[in-house]
Amino acid sequence: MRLLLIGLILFVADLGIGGLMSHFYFRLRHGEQARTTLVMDSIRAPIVVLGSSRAAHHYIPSIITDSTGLACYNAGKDQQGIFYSLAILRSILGRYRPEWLILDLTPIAFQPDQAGLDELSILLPYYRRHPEIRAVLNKRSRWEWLKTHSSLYCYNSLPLQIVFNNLYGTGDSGVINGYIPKDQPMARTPATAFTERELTDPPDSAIVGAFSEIISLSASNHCKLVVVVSPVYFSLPEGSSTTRLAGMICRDHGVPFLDYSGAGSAGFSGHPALFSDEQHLDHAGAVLFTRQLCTDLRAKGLLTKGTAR
Amino acid sequence: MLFNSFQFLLFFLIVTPCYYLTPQAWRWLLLLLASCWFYAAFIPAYLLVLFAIILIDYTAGRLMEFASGRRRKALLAMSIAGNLGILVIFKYYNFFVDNVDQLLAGMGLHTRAIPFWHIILPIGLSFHTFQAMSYTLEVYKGRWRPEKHPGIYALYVMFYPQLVAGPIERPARLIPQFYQRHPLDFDGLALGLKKMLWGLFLKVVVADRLAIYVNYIHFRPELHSRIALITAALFYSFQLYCDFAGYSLIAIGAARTMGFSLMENFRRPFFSASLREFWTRWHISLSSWFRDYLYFPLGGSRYGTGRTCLNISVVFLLSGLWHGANWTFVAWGLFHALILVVETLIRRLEGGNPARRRRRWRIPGILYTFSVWTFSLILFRASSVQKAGTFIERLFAPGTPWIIPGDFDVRTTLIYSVFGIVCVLAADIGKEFGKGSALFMYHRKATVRISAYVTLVVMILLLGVFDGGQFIYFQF
Repeated sequence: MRLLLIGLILFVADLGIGGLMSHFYFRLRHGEQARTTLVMDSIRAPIVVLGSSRAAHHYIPSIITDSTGLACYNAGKDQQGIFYSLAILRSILGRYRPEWLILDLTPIAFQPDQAGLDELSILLPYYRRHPEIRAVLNKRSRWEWLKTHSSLYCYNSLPLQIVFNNLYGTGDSGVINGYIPKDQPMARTPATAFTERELTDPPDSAIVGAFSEIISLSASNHCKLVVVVSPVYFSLPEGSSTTRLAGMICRDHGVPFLDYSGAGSAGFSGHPALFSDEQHLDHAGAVLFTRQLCTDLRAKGLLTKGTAR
Repeated sequence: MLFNSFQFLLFFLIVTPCYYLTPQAWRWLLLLLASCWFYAAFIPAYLLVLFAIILIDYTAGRLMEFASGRRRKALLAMSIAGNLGILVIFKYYNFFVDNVDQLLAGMGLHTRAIPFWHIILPIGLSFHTFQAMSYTLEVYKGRWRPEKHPGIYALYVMFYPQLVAGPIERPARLIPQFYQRHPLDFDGLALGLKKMLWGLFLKVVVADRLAIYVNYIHFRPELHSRIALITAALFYSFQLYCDFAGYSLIAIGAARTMGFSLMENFRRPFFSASLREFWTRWHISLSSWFRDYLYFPLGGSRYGTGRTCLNISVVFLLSGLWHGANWTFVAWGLFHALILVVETLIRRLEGGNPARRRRRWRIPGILYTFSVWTFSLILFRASSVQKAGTFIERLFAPGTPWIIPGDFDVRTTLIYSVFGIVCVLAADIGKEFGKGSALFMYHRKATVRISAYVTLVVMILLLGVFDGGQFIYFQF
């Protein structure tokens, strides 16, 4: 009897506290969670940038808009891998069809530890509201579909963020259309960003599968996709197992692939004033890079004013 | 199968009721099959390693029954060589090869003379080999009769709650329990579940949350401020404690739900007033193993100060190596040996009333022990001696800034971490200095107890880190 009572109280607590969490989570107007909700529920920009923190810090939507005449939103997210981009794309395509997608790949994006399945937990609050992303989130574990029946589980590790951002959320310190500037240039001696193994180990088939799914989803929805590897502090003239395979897949599917981490990194690599750390450009670097990207895309006849329609 | 996984929750919810529904005569088989299922969830092939250990020690035990003198000694040597051989091959072979390679390279000779063995260490190998060895040692000394039932013996080595990370049991404690009838006892069940719940809280809410900060700082210690390094060192002390004590509590609780009693593995070690006392409260099952099967046979403290110091050094050198095939663990073990030797010498030189002195120096002693332990864990946590050196050098270098703005700006992680530490300290202080448990789960009023269960489950679901991965001690 007592066990049943405890079970019942737990069920009510899960529903009650989970409901409160949900209420306060979805009324957030500032902070990281509010930006994720915006991407999942609201944005309708014709150009969307997808990717990890490197996407979030490297692509300035206003420069892309100036170059193309089309609104742009940067949906890149810190610590995320390709599965996050896939989930976001599925959610966006469930709502509207962007004209262009820019997918930023890190040079080691296909390595097994870069899948970012653990970090996908930031999308758990959307599990029930967005059935289209469930298949991606279910890759986190075999029992994810069962665990997400708990409302509390879906808001795991979020209580303080929800409280702080509801109480004190006043702005997003310079975040504009998803772009998060890094204002401080690198103040220390740079060290190697990637290990030899990360650059040479064979790619993970599940991550490559997600990458291929992004390509096929954008093709089937008639969105034009551009895959970009943005600059790193130490250029990678030999490339990496990720960039080589990504380039090959893109070629096979006729998807433009621009790699700024190897031979195309001139002007960026080795310039500490353009980087905030070994993997991330600072704001000055991001301005330079976004302009360079727009110029290169225009030169290839892509992403120019009028090409989107 | 990890105790903090959903898979284990399902496993537990199936196995425990099945245990009570199974007739007594077949319960050993159910537990053995469940233990195989539990272990096979990691790498099924490694069941063969376990079976080899079981076969060696069961055979040695049975043969010892009819042997005496040199033949009995030879059987013991065979058993120990078999166990240690498996341990050395899986755990220390690559360490040996790597060091020989570096030595040869240092002498300008051809390297890669001996090939590495690319193999994953079977989880918990050091634990079950030590448990198996305690059986043959006890049989050899005549303190335990050889077990005739091969299934029961296999279960002694494989009993799932303590299979991969202890507590390392002794035959006299565990084997008789497999023969005892364990009727469904609601108090025992409740006690087991409470221990499991608190253990899970320690692991997922405290240890794995602290790990986020600790891992971040230890990845590149040379980039961080002194305050960040000190915080990481302090956090790691609590992380390791909560990780391993959490595991032990889940193990003890899981066994208790089926009526089994496993030995206590931690007794609030952070309230020890000396390192010597610390080792009677931390990983008790391992330290008592080393005491009974190594320190005492070496002579313990019976043959004068010099011999005592030597025995302590040998025990802690091997204890360091037991933890891992890395020079960091050797250095960690030797550091502990050094401190314990100094403590032993001071104790022997001191006169007066030790009891009164202990009372007076209790608080400074606790602070001293915690500081020594925390410092030693820099060696324990570092991936290499060089990394440990970098950490220590950065910690003490005069040029290291005390604070670097934006060094770690995820303030919520720090708040959760401090909250977790406060919870653990409150519980331990209550138990150490108060009457009974400070946890509301043990309150006499049912409403308070039920509220405590619900609060803990809610905190685990809301604040737990569910992708924190395996327990630190699994690698040993």
